[in-house]
Amino acid sequence: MNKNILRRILHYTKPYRKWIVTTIISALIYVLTTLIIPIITGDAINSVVGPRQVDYKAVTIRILIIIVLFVIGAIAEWILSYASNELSYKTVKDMRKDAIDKILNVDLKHLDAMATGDIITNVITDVDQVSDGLIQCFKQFFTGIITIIGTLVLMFVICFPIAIAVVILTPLSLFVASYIAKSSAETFKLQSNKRGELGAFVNEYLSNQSIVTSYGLEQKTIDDFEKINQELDKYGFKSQIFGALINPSTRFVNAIIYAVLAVGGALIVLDGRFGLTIGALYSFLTYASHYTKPFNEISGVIAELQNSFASAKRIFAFLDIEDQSSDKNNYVLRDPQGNFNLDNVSFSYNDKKIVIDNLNLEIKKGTAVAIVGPTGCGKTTLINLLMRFYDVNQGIIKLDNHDIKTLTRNSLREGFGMVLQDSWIFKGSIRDNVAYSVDNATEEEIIAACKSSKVHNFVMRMEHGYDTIIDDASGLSEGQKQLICIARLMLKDPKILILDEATSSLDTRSEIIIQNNFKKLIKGKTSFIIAHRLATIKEADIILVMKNGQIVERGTHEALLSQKGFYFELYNAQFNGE
Amino acid sequence: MIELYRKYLKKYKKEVILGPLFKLIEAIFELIVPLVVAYIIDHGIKNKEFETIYKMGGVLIALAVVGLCSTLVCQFFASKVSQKVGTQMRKDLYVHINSLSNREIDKLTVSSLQTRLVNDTIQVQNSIAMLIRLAIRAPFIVVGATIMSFMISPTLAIIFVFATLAIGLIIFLVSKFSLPHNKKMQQQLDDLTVITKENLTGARVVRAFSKQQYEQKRFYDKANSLEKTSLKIAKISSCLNPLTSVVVNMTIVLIIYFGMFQVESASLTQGQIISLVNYMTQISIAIVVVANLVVLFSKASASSKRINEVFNTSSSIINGTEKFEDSKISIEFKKVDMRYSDSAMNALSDINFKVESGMTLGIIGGTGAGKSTLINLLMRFYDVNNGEILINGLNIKEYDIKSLRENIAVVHQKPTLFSGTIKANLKYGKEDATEDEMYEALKMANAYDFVCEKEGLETVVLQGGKNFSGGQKQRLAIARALIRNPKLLILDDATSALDYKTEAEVKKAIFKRFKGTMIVISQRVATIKNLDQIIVLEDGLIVGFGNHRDLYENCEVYREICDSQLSKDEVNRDE
Repeated sequence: MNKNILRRILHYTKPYRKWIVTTIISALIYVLTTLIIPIITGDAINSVVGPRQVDYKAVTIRILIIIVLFVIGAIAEWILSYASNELSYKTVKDMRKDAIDKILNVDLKHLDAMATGDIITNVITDVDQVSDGLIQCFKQFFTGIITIIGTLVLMFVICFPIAIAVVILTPLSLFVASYIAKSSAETFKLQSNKRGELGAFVNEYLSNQSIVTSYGLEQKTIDDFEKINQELDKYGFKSQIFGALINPSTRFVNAIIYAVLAVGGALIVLDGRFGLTIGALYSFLTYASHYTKPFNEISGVIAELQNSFASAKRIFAFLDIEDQSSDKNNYVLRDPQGNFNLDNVSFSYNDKKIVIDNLNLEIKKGTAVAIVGPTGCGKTTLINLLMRFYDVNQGIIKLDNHDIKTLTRNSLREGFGMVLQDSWIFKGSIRDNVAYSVDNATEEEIIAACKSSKVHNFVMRMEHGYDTIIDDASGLSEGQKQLICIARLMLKDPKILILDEATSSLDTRSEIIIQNNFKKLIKGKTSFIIAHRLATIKEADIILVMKNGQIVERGTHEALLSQKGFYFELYNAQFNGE
Repeated sequence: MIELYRKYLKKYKKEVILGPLFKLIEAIFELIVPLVVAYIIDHGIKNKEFETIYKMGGVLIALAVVGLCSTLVCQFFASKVSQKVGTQMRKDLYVHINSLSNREIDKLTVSSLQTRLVNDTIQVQNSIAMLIRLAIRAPFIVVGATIMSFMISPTLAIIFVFATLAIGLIIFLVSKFSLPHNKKMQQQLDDLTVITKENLTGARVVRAFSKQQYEQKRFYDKANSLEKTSLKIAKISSCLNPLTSVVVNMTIVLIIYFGMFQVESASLTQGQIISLVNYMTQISIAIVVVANLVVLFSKASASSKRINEVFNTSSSIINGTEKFEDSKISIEFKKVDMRYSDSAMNALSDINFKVESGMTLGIIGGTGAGKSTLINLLMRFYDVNNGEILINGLNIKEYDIKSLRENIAVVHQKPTLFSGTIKANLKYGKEDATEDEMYEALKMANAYDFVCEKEGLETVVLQGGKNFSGGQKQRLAIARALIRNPKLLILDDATSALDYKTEAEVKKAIFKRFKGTMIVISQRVATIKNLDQIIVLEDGLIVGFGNHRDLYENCEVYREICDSQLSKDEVNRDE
């Protein structure tokens, strides 16, 4: 499984091969210099034995060599670090671009089925994790391995018996570190779960502090909080202890190795058989710490890489979701008229509950269609099908006698304009938000649309007017946000209108003004209106009364009232309060 | 930060002093190691004394063992103290937040309070652990190693001082130059998050207006500039390691170079050169630790500022002493003005009205008219800026808040259910409610049927009640309010998500059973027109007060609202 993911990550790095090559070359140079410097330093020390036993010339030459080496090493190290950053950032940028393309091109049913927060985590946090992993992989993992191999080779060349001792002893510290890490992994997980739980608890209760205080529940929530807090304390302490053990333990093991090397080395120097000099002993002691360092680092990097793999797995799972079917070769509908035919249309979101059942409907151009019915009866679903956000399970929907599946999605949707129940605002100026529906709208057109949607009134009261930057949390009321969405529609002046609870956030007096403007807008056009307040749809040409996915009644307001059926019941309930 | 430390570490004086002391033992031992090695070389090897070599080897191991033990003691103290302090601090914070009024919570915001409670306390907690573990040790190593090298060779040790300063300067400069870019990068990442979120929540709008390419470009542009900033940071921060290693290597070279003259003149030995080099390595490692500590403590200092800000905020609402024990509630507002802290305008101005006990009052008006503010005042979530509110003739400020709230139940427009079960949620209303009472309340709120359809009282409620529709949530919230059997019931647009038919049924059931004082807020005339009295609010002012018929005759705003919602026939109909 991991191999597969690794291959895909590497695939992403393909365009940046030159950076990979740069990284590898600079890593080799860098490691080489760090390995050679201790040898030459040891050599230099060998030339400084005691009074009248100092070889000035030899020392000076070696010092010059060392200076050249560490300058080269430093440059190589900088290139290594920069190149691996370059590689990683370029790679993850491509990943993010693929992710947004996926978001823009995937079937809505997939997006609807996923939590927004999860996808955001995917695109932001998980990709960052992969980026960290890539950097670490090249900067530490790779150089670590070269260092280990290089050190081993050099140690064996200098002195065989001590090299053997180092090889046998050093894994000890690694073993200790990984043993502690492994046995503490569970505790760390529990700790982070508890932290998450505490955060969720605080968020839930503080957001609703009014309820807590109005029901006098302060002490109860404090007790509940303290319960989680105490559990966090328990796991937190354990995690801390484990975390605090790793460094001292590995340091201890390293100190023991150091002692063994110092004593063993000294004995071998005295023994003289292996030609070990004091300078070489110095090199060895340096190597011993060089050699254990990458081991310690690598164990950290491996944990990091595992996280990166887990993140990459989630990203790829998202990227692997099938795109919507291609509509490249479909018919491009120009100038739609708004004649709809629905033949035997059935639809369900999850195969379990049928939301629309065998629906037949013919709508002529210019008809104002109202859809009413209790919550969950399939009103909004119908809109999803008409705009092809979802595809029907059975039957055919035709627009101007074309099966909408044979049209390009963009040309189908081009004819529509809509205001949905949830107002959508993006971060940008009010002008950009309104002009979203029409490319190249002129300032006059924008202001005209804002005037007929009452946006102009409140914009004029803002300091920066149409240049005011807004976003979803910028303090606009729900009503104002909805008005901006309405302005978008007014600006577009589409052939087919969809008003899905388009005035639900407005107070009734503003609603009346907007409704009157809608009336002008929909004249001669096909429109679909979903509304809770039945007063707003009385004048529709045809009212469809839906119940459990089926149209149970259809007709004009008067005709439906005289039928004394379900519509009559709904209508009376609304206005009589009885 | 010091203030916070002093407050919480008082209880742990012993650990805070002993911990670093034990750590110092290890540090001292670590400083002795190079000396021992030098001794092995200069005496053991040069004089061929095997016994010295073994002995010194034994010393090295003994140093390691004792060092380990004393560190472990320190680590234990550090973990224990920091964890206990963190836990206590979280609790104190949460208790304190619960004592604040809505005015203060609004100002601090919930998301910020959440960060302070979870992340900031952990930050301070970590800083305490590090304070005990490293804050003494790392500087000690730097100073100690420098002193040791002074003892070996005062002239060579001067190089150490310069090297230490140079490394410090490098760390300072690198972090100084990369800091502004780091901030920018964080901002760009946030922007990217916002665009992603917008594309997810607005998936339908983007598709409907065929804006895929526009959105793609918007995202690509941000992703590209994020990459640019990241690489700028990479360029700068990649300098850190190469530059420090240049300084360290340069120092070693200088030690050998100048050292050889001293060896020649017999004022220094070969072994001592090696130990000087070792000290330099120890210093360079310790300086990196110090740099990390500086970052950690500056973070912790920012966190503790944010924590203290909460502790230093006190509730603007002062509790009264009068226990509320009456069996009825009457309300009077006298010349009440109210303004929220972040607002330039009054939310309510010059509000005067009176509701006798057992009466019903309707409040109608557009968004932002001040309807919910009125309720906030009655619940004493906020205090008035001017004027007074009388409950049964006594100023609301005189009452013990808790005893007053026990007798009031509010249902909000966006009702909140807590995660748990339906039963647990109803128990929030009345802790000792029996199952019969629960069913009774559910029936009154017209929630009985759908609750039974699910799994009855044991039905699980997810966070935010997201497994219920808006209308179901409202009905459950009404049931939770009714089960309290309150003396004042406030329905704050509490039936807005119900279709008219269901709303009518709920209303009917409540009217039949509930006999206390009731306030109903709505935007719908039909919801309030039959109540005893109606207040018409506009922009924080009362523009009409009376019953439906009076208001329709005399209040223009009310008449406009009625005409916008009802037919002539409906306006005149009485029930």
